[in-house]
Amino acid sequence: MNFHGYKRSDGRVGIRNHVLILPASVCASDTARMVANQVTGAVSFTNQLGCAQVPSDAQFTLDVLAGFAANPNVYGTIILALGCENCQRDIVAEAIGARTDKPLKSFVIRHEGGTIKTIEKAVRCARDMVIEASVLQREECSVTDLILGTECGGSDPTSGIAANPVIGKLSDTLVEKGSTSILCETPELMGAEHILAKRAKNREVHDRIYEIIARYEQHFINNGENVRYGNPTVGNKSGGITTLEEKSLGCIYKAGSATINAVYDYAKQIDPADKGLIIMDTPGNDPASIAGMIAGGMQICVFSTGHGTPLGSPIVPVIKITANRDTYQIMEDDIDFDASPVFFAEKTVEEVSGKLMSAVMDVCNGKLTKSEVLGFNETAVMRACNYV
Amino acid sequence: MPNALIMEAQDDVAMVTSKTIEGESVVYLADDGKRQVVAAQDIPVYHKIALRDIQKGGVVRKYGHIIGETTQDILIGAHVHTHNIDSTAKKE
Repeated sequence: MNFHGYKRSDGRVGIRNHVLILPASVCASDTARMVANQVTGAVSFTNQLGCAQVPSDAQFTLDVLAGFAANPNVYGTIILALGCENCQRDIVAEAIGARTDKPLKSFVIRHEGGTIKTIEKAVRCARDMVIEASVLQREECSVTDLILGTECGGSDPTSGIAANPVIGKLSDTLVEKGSTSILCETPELMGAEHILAKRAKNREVHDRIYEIIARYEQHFINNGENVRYGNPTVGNKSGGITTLEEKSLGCIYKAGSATINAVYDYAKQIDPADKGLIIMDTPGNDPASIAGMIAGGMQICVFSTGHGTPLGSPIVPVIKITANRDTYQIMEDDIDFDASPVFFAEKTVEEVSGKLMSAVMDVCNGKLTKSEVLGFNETAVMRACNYV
Repeated sequence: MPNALIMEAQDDVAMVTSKTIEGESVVYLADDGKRQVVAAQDIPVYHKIALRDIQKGGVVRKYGHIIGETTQDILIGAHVHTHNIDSTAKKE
């Protein structure tokens, strides 16, 4: 099974052809937005970080910035930096260079003489890059080059019982065909780790599953908190999810039944040799989790929701699905796929999953998702601790 | 017509698939056919109903696995949620 994508100089394959205006820090984010707003074909997002961070925290940000630029859905990147931030232009450029050789330009706002002068130069540069990108044609690509990310947010009990099993079947099918599929959201593996660990390829992967969960748990303990005080969320609970274990046991259905081949730290680039099902250590916060997978190289994300969410991404198409029929009807503006026939036993998981596979292939071939059309681009980044 | 679902045979709770009022029959499919419990109180859609009595401190299973432990005695037909179960790992 193949699709038509964009072949990149680094050997990877994209399903979109964006020019990324990349804010190195919060101080460059508004300027980046202004540049992207001026250039059709350019995308950007608000980077609230990039400065006032200790090294472990800054590393998450740097990995996301570099990984966004390297993501195969991006044709090329223009870095905008202020000049005095932790995530300096040269540091960001070097981190990008370690991941990809795609087109890269940069401007430092202080060097250019302020915002307006930077915008003028960066808009011209982005215009030229978008024109270059527009020449590229889609070519036939193999699904073995595809990295699917699976996410759930605003979950209710219909997610675990119907929408996530549909995604899990999709994941299994793509894994059988040689694609890569990512399970993420570490806190939402808590209470289900014993099930996942049994599916690990080897002892190392088994131990890593327990390691990322213990590490995530410890982060809250160090702050005198318990992750369960905030997860499940108010919305999860009002929908009928009572405990984190219950949420997690529903969450892991997204990962189908395949063997777990690897565990990645947040936002690290996924090795093309790691096919099949993998886990990435990400937060339960959806935009931060999706950002980690984008940085890893995910080209397409399938996102289950119970309550409905408008969320999208600047770089990766997000296909949102729900098995809650009321939610689909109320939030049809924002939700791409109705999995409720599984919930009502009108169709099997296999039937609905097959239909979802067709929807995924359509989006890979260029069909826009609802959140792409509306221009959603919210982004968050995992934190190690507070600002300095 | 079933109006609740269980995921695995050993589950202690079923999810009601429509808003359920006190005294209403709740029907779900088990391996050996239809089973029925009576709702002891109102239960919101997609929330959980107890399929058996569970003593305080006992574990509650859904998806065939433990989702928490009871913080009070739960009687068959009760609404099972944050008021009577909690995470097994949520130590104050």
